[in-house]
Amino acid sequence: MALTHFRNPAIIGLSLVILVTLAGAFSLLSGSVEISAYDLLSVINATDSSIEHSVITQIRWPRTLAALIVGGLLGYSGVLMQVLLRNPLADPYILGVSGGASVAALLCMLLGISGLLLSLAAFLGALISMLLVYGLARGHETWTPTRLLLTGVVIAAGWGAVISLLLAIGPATSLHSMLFWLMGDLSGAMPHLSIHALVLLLLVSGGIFIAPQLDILARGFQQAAVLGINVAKFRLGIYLMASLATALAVTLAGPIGFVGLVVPHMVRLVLGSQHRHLLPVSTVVGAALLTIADTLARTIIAPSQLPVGVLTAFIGVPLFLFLLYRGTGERK
Amino acid sequence: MNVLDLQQVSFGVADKTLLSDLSLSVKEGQRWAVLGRNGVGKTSLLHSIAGLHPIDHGSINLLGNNLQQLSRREIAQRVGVLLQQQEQSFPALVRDLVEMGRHPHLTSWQAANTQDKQAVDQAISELALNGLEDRDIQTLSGGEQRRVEIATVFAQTPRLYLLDEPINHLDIAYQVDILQRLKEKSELAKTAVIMVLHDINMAAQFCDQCLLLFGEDSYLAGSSDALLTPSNLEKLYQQKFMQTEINGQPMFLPII
Repeated sequence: MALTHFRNPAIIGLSLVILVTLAGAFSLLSGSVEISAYDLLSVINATDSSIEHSVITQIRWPRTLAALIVGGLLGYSGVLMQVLLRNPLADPYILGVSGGASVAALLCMLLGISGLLLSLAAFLGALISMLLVYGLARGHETWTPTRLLLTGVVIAAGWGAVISLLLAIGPATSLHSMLFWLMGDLSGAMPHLSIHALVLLLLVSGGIFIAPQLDILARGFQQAAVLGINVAKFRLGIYLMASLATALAVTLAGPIGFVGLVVPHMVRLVLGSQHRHLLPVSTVVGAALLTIADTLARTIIAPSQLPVGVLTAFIGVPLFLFLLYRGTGERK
Repeated sequence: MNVLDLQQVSFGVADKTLLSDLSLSVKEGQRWAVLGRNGVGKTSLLHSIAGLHPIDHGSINLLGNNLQQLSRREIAQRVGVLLQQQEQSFPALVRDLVEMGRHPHLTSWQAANTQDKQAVDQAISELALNGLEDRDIQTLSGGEQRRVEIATVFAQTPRLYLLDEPINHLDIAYQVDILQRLKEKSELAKTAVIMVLHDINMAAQFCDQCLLLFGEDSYLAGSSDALLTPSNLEKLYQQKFMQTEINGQPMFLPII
């Protein structure tokens, strides 16, 4: 594949802006209340008190923004996890961050806690899981990707068992909301989106800043050390950045599958592995993909809503397979 | 000036000591061949010198600096390492990979200057990679991948080359070409080369110094002319050798 053709930053930037605008507009315009593109423009007028105005500003915009942020966080985190574990099959949840968050969230639901407190608990659960995996994987010697991966997978399995236990003993009345949470769902409360957006922006900027080192780390840890990188310190930094992104995403929307796995792959197939492109582009593509998926999830069988995790899988799987086989076909 | 000084260095893997009390001085312009059987510690020795593998005792001095006082970056500015095996899990363009060799010389996000570009261009042409620059590494053959890895080390322009089986996977023309280029680099650019080789005759032809690792803590270090003898080689490999001479060049053949 001639990867260089796709490297023109102007073309990349322009297509990303168009992609996100279209995804955002699709999300804002779709729903039970009919809204035209003209209504969208009228939002700028803050004194407007029409129904359309409040639907857009109070219902659709927060949800669209949440989808954009969560999708961006997942695409971003997926890229970093894949480099960290030197495994293209890694996704943001592979190390059990979402398991910790889920257990905390389900416990809250069982105790009747909801809203901001539930989000905080989920975030705390994610952090605990993250520290647990890191501490165990480190042990008394340096960690290898395999050791980290196995530790994470085992801890994730442990969380999985706790989740099953909670579902088994939970009252039938809360089962539906628990399952929705576990499948990934954006309909919950969306507190402090501006903070999430800011953190995502900071994470992406930080990622772009260390992009050359990420490129080198992707060639192997020893090779990175040979080329002058303090691998232990650098890996810890990436682990924290990826985990923070995942924890925020899970806190907002529960574990949404496939975005973090599929998006970095798609982008890599088209753009190659240079992280100064890969990281921001995966973030934006993840944001757009999740926004589209979420819009479909809440409109496809309206007035009922599907969990968005189901839709990301339906979109992600065929899209990924298509790109994968097209890619290998051209290489020969 | 000595490029490298090892004083009574001991190291091992897990609980097994591989080498103890190794002392060695490597001077500018020297080319060392490290010879020995599998598992005797050749790779661990290169890794120790590169600071990738901790030593248990002794000291390593690199161009007058204690290795332990140098950061990874400072080591990388002085030492270029060709690892025995590299796993290419992710796609990357050949030119981008060779440019990574300049990383230790650049500060964060500093654009490559003319000197950097020149080093990269030269490395690409030295390894005959022109025309492959825009190819994905994962689509190249084993030998081509090896040449890209060597080009990365060449682009790094180190004072000390540590090469672990540099001519593996390469056809004989590239083997000779690369060893010849390393000879020129060591003679012209005040650099030293230490390489692990399994080809005794290539070692005899291109390396003026030899380090023979016999295992069980015993070693011999010195000029190739003195050390490369059928009796030493027999002790080294537990295999009988005969020596002959072609155009004044010693040749060693295993007696089968």
